[in-house]
Amino acid sequence: MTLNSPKLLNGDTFHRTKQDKKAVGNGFVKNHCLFQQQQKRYRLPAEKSHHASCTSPLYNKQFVESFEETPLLVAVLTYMGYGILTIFGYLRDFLRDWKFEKCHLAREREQQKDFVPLYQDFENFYTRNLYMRIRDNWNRPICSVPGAKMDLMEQVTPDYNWTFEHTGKVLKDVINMGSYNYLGFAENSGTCADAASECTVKYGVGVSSTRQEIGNLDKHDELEKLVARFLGVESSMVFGMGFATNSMNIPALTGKGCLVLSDELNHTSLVLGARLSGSTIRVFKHNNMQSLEKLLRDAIVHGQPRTHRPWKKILILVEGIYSMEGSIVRLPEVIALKKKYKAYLYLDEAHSIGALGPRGRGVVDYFGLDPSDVDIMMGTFTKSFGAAGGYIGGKKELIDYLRLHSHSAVYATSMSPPVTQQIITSMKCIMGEDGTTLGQERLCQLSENTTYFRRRLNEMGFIIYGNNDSPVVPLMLYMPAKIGAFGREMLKRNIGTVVVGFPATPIIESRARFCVSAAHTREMLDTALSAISEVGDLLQLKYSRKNRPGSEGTDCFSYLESHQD
Amino acid sequence: MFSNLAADALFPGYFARMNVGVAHSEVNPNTRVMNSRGIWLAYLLLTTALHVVLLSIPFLSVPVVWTLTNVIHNLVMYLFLHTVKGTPFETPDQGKARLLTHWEQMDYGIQFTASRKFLTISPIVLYILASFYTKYDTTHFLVNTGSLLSVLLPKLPHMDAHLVVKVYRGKSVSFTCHTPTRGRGKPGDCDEPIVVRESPPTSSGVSQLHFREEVVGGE
Repeated sequence: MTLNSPKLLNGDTFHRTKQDKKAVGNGFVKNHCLFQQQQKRYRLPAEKSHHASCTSPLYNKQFVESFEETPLLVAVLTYMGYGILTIFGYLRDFLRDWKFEKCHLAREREQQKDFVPLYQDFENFYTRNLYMRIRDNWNRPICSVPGAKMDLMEQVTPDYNWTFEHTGKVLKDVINMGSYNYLGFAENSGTCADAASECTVKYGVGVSSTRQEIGNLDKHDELEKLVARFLGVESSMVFGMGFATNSMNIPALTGKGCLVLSDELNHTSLVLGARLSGSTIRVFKHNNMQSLEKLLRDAIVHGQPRTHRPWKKILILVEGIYSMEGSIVRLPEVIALKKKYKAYLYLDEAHSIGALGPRGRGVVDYFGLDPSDVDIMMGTFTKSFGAAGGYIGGKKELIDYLRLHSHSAVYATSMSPPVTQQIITSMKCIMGEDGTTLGQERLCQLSENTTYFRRRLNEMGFIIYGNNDSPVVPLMLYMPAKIGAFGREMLKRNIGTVVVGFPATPIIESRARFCVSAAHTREMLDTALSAISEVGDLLQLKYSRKNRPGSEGTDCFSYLESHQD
Repeated sequence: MFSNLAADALFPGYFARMNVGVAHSEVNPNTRVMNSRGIWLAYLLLTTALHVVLLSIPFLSVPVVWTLTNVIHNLVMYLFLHTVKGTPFETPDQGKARLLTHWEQMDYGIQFTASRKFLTISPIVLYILASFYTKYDTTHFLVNTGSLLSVLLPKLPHMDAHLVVKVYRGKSVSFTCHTPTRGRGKPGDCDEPIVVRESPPTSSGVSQLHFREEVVGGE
């Protein structure tokens, strides 16, 4: 039960408290916790990163996640950047108001100026003064299949991103580092595409009905049985849209008087589903098992808010891979907590199904756990299967209930036949049932690519978030101007990337997010990496202080940081 | 002047109705800005920079510079923390934060968090320094004290608009001060951090509370 990682500092290490005598705090209550808060040790100046490496017996392999802290100088400069942008924003608003500058926005008619105002202009301050300036990094039109390489339509703007025009030129073979194409099934040739076209010829493209009425095809049944076999659960149900799977099914599962414990960084679909259900929602810190345990204990001890009656059910919502952080959920611990406190677990494997695990069965396979421990396994077919839609897998009673009560089953059109066929073919390929080893090769290729890409980026000195095994790689940019600069510079070098800024992420943590794919060859990754390194030198993005020998503790800010808490 | 509706037609998909385009479940990111890494340092550096710039103007004497620093700092703080209402971006809280200043939005209205204490103490420290460097001269004292009061009074918990808004809903409300949280005051687990107990309506209505002069719209 000992930790064999002496460099571990404030990290999330877990002790079995029965053997652990280092009880902190007051009272005996804490001794009954599964995961106890570790005493705060003195932090050595050299190590500033949050490095969580857990080798407790719940895990059968190393779980290494790193979220290096923002360097203080960078944080201060980021705030200054936002401050300058705000000042210029106010200046531009003033100029627009006084007609010195052309206003491209919607405004009220002159006759309506005396009425109650129709528009809230302060709420759009960020949009019109910050987002508009770098808007060309998003919504770029793609005119080919989004595989490892794609074609982009070139767009120019005569008025600083307020309007765009297509020149007609097509940027060919742009390396695609942004598509969720983990296993490379986004392709327009090969067995999947052929099978899907045959299916279109036979069934057509549209279904023209909901599952409950007359839109239940035999293809859907075949797919559901296949998905159930793939996941290792009793039964499953598929839906036409991944977002709608979450937002339409969580209301069917929980309601008033239930408690939903959701991770801080859960996807919008989970948040929407939880809110639509009408249950009480409590948020625990991201991937933090002490926070989750505390919430569980408080919920069970105190019950519902005013009446103190016991909760009807407690549902824990977690995701397999969090796509903005690249972190993997601590599933063994969540399951241990769930069993101890008798809560239910809803696992959203949108990004992790097909991408993690030796057999590609997702995060449950990655940790080597039993699928029947997870009550509701949800996932999407958008990411690793090159299709669209979502599924929910679980016990037969649960799925039968959902077939009747899910809004998506009753009201939403069912999945389109060629899409269904694409999923069937790709899933059989991953499982190896199509007679080739293509699936296994793709899984190995993805895992190799992930390891290589992350290792090289770390060596170059960038700050990368997330787990070492996650194919989602967020690269930290921090400063607002670098968001736009990074996107544009990468496009100049023929690489398409996705950049994200505030308010989607916390204010100082803007990032570029790379999605590694099995379709990327080593040469493509090398090209991309050299371009990233070049842009990183140009924009000074190599903030990491971990791997640089002799660069720690040399400037005044590192002194401040080491004595911060 | 720029509506959600019309702009939705112009720029479809971006405008937030329900945490759209956002990777966390934080309803209002403005509440956490003052707790983020390095912002206290940035604030201190900015104040120092202001002071140094003022010091470099040749015809101002040192006491005048300190008073000017104090006054300008308090003016800017009053402007950004207590005048500007709402958020510069759209939030999915259906306009709850639209009538709240940044001070009231901080940490979802939980009082006595670390950031609030820091932002209360820093004008006081600046005032003490300014009083020292102006050698306690009467005119300077009056100006500095007035300026300090203008920036301290809005920070009192009594002035919190969360309670003011409930008052105008016509119910008589008595409030309890929310239990102060330790540390950086993250709202933590509750989704309703403000505890307001409603008592049966009395004839005097809202006599127990202070409220601000401006008319709060019929929200």
